[in-house]
Amino acid sequence: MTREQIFTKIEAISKKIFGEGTIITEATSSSDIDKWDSMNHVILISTIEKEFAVTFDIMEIIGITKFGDFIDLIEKKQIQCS
Amino acid sequence: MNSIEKEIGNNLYEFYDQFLQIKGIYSERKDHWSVIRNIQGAWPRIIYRIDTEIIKPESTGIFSEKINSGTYPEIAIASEDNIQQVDPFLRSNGFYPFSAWNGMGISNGKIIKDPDLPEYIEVVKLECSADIEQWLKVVTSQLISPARLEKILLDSLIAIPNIEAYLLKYKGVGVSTILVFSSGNSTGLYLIATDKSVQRQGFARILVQKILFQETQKSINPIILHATPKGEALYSKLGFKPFNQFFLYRYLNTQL
Repeated sequence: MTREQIFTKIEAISKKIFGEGTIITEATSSSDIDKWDSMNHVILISTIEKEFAVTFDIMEIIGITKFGDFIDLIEKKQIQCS
Repeated sequence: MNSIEKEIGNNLYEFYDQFLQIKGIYSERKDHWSVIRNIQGAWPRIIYRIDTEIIKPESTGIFSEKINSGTYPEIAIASEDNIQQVDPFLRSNGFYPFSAWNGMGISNGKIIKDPDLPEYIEVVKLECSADIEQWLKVVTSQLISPARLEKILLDSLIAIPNIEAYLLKYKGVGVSTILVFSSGNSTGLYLIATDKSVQRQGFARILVQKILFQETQKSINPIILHATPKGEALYSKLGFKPFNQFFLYRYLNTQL
């Protein structure tokens, strides 16, 4: 899966969680989205884990501050699996 | 583990234990974890002091039952020293990590300079009702929702002999807050916040430095705090060193 494909999937997930009108880039962070609170953060993580069939470890999760971090992690895990 | 590292955890847990003394807050100490939950929803609502024995079947059953029945709060805190055992346990019970605090400390013997306060800045200990209201206004706009930290709870906290709260006033208006808890072996700094309108102007730094100076005059105990990623740089500048991490988990009870 390319970086663009990963982003498109994550964008769709973010719209489901934060609302249809949510516009994101790789640089969008929790401080840019009002609804990105601790609850939605864990919903976002668990949804992405399910969608991409990956598991993030605790240090990876606490290092996530923006959408680009998810893409980096998923790319890294894809390489490990291939 | 050295003593300051240990104290960073002990002070936090002993601070939470203070809530056992407050009327109206329901706390529970199980063998392998402790819980603060409040039917009125007051702060804090947390599962803490989790030890590795929790993963034994006899404990696991009770814990899972309480979680699934909704009688436990949604936030849990785990410490770095047992995270390898506790993390899989919490995740298998529906908790996800969402943030971490850096346990930081200043060892005893560190010389702290008393900051020179400009004429228009003063630091006051919370005693009078007007200061309490201003302190609450800052904390509830930055850290805890107003519904979860009511004046009655703050009044009860500062009535505990080893807890003191301070307010930094700029031109007579409260802009920065701190709460100090002395456990006997260490001094913990909590609820450090600055009003949004005056952030990044050095008020929190002045307040923390003033309290550091005051506390180092009183005792030789280490001074510790639990910094969010945002706050770490400020505390490093004041001489705090990172020692360990605490991981915050949130129970995910939503069907996805």
